[in-house]
Amino acid sequence: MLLELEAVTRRFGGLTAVSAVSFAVSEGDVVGLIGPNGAGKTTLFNVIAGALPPSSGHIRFAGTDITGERPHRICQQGLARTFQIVKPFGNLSVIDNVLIGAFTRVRERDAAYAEAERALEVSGLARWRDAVARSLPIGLRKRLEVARSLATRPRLLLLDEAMNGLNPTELGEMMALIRRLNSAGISILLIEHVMAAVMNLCSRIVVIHHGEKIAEGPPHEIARDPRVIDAYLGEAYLIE
Amino acid sequence: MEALPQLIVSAIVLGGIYSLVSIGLTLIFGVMRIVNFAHGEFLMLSMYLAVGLFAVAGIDPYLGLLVAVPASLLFGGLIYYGVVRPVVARPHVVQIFTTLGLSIVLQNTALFLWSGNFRQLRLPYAGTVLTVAGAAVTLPQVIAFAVAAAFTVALFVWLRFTYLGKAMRATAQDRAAATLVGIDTDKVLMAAFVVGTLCVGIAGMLIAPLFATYPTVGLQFVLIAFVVVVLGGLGSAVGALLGGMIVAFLDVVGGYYVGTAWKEVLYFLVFIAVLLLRPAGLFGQRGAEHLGM
Amino acid sequence: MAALSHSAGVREHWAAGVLFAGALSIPLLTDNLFLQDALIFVLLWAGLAGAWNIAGGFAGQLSLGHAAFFGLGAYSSTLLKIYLGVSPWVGMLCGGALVIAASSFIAFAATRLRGPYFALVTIAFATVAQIVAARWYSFTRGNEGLSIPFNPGLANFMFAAKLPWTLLVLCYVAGIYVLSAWIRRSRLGYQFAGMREEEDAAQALGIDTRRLKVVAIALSAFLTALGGTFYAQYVGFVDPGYVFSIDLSVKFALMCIIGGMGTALGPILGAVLITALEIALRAKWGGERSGLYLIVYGALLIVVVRSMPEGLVAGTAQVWKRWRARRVA
Repeated sequence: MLLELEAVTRRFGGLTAVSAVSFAVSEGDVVGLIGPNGAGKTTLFNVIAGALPPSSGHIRFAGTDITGERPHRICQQGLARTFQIVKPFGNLSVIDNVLIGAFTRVRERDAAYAEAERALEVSGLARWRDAVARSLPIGLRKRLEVARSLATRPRLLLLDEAMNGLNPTELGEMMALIRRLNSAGISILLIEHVMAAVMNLCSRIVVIHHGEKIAEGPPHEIARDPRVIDAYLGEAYLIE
Repeated sequence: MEALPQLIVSAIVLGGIYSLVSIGLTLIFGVMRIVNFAHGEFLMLSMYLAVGLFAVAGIDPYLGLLVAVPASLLFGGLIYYGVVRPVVARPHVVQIFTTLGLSIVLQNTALFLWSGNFRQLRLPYAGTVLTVAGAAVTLPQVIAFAVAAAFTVALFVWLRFTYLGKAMRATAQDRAAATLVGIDTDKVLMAAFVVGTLCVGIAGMLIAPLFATYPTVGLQFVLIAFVVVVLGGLGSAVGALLGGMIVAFLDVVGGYYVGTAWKEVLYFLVFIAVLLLRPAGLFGQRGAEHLGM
Repeated sequence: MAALSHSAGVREHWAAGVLFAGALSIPLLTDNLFLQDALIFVLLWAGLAGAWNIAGGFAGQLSLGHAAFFGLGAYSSTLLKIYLGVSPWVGMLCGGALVIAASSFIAFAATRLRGPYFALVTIAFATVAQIVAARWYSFTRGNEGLSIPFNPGLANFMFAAKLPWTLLVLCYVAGIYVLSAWIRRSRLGYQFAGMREEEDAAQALGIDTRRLKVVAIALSAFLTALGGTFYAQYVGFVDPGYVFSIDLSVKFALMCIIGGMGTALGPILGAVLITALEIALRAKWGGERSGLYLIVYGALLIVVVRSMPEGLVAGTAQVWKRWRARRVA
């Protein structure tokens, strides 16, 4: 098990955003996290990535307890995340954005550059190498988020709505990118609303509703699960 | 402990003034999310207006409020459109240095026009002393407190019950949501700035008979205003009121026991402590300091 | 810190080299004491601006209280000399050490506060330092200030002629320039840039922003304190009203903003411009009509920060690029 969540709970005053959620991600998996808006998915990501401490519960990554660790330490251990609302280093060039990620693994400038160039190649951003990040359209910004995290050589990548706002072509490219990353050995946990992508990419899906896990299983099972259909999917996804 | 009634009364009078000055600052911050470093200079200009009206036309500052009110509204509007509005959506560094630059310009314009000499507006009835609960207060002090209190009450009522007041509170809570419900946030931001300016415009007229007027007097009051506003919570009018009283008490009581020399250190230490331990202050929005807002 | 191309970096170094050579030539070519004195101040401010820039421009920690470090440096060496007869060189390093300790407080504030909240704490910090220095008469002679006896000699950090002062301050500013240029291209510099642009994203990429803030502020404070000692020795007098003043704090920041915050050359250009402006305006309208040049100052600040937030170095580079593009087309 690469990532294990054990009864992770997060409260904000009187509101319980995440309630005793447990699941695991194995090495090499692509796992999807779905649920209606406000279900607590991004909060869960924030807790896993260290941006918020859990109110209770444990998180283990590659056997080590990372509960309550600070975000940079978690990234250094191999767990990287992207943001739902992208946060590029706007005034820096694309290559410099990725370089900053690369410097987490590599101290030497030339080696870091090489790493960054590689990440750009894999992400298909080499063409925009010298463009200023804030001049990029949303599709490329989303890819930049991924490229940046990629440069930190993660074992597990948390993607928060990476497909949000993409047109069909960009969607296809992003899905291809995720597949490429996975075949290169990176495990993926993704939050998504684009069902086609989720059903296509994920070997397993976890469904969150009102902060609780209500279902877990392979895509075809989830699509048929009445609780999931009731809470989120609707009849259209019934595969007959 | 015979000094206690005197200390308390002095503190209350001072508190009223500090509160009024600070409410303007917190309103501007709460609604616009901009720290107005030039706030003290607006106060200074109002004080000079009082001095000028009295010296040139013999107009009492309280009567002069009739001039100060429209003048403050106009001035606030002009500054908003010329200086502040262009930087509302810009990063912090731009906003901080814009208001800082404005502060420098206003301070030195006053210095240039009216020299650095201290001026004191001495009202003919400044010496009239009233006794309240065993403490002595001068008439100007009483009037200052009364007007400040009345205006503050009016402001609270306005914020609570009028459309614009509610719109301001809504914008302070969540600007994006406010636009979604149809509030013209641009007008609201301007209103906040103008009303904030009005507060110090009135305060200046009230304190001109009580404190010396000189180009950098604003600095003294704005630092106190920041302490009040941080203590009460940036954006909270109630907080500014309470904070004003607390700081006034610290000022008067602290000054009595520690001496005027060291009392300033006292409230700066309080300021730093609040910022580090509970940046939201008494009534402010928790977590705002992490967003830099 | 826009993408730093190799050629832009080289251009910058050439410009810096020319400036330094020019600075060096002034005491050699002219006997005018006023000019030499002005030059020393320009170089001192350039160094101090560069020191502020490390925390403010590179790391994005906008301090408006750096005068605290300047004043602490000035007072440390002076007090140690007056009370214990310690050589100002040693006193300078002691001041530096003291300031690093003091800066940890500011760094702590930086980890918890952002934007205007942080700026307010730094202002309060410098103000407290000023008040303490002003009120502690028995120790610091309060607002009367402290004089440093004129006793020329290398060991005393005191020179009779202008040239040694000029060389010393030139080393100071050149050293800071080289350090800044190095930081900018190094791993540390890139991590600073990330933290400055988007702190949350930087953390998510493995950057320990807390440690980085401590490093940036401590380094910046240390270098500022060194400048404080130089000032005290050169002018021979320190008083709390000046060395801890908010005017100074704002000045350090202003020079960087006008010159260009994220570059190594920017602070130097800013210092040259601001000091030249000050001298020119003071010469024209000094004395009675004081404050006029500050009005221009303030107005300049408002306009520049709004229209050229990258400062003059980057601003003119953009203008240059656009002009060249137009010529080709």
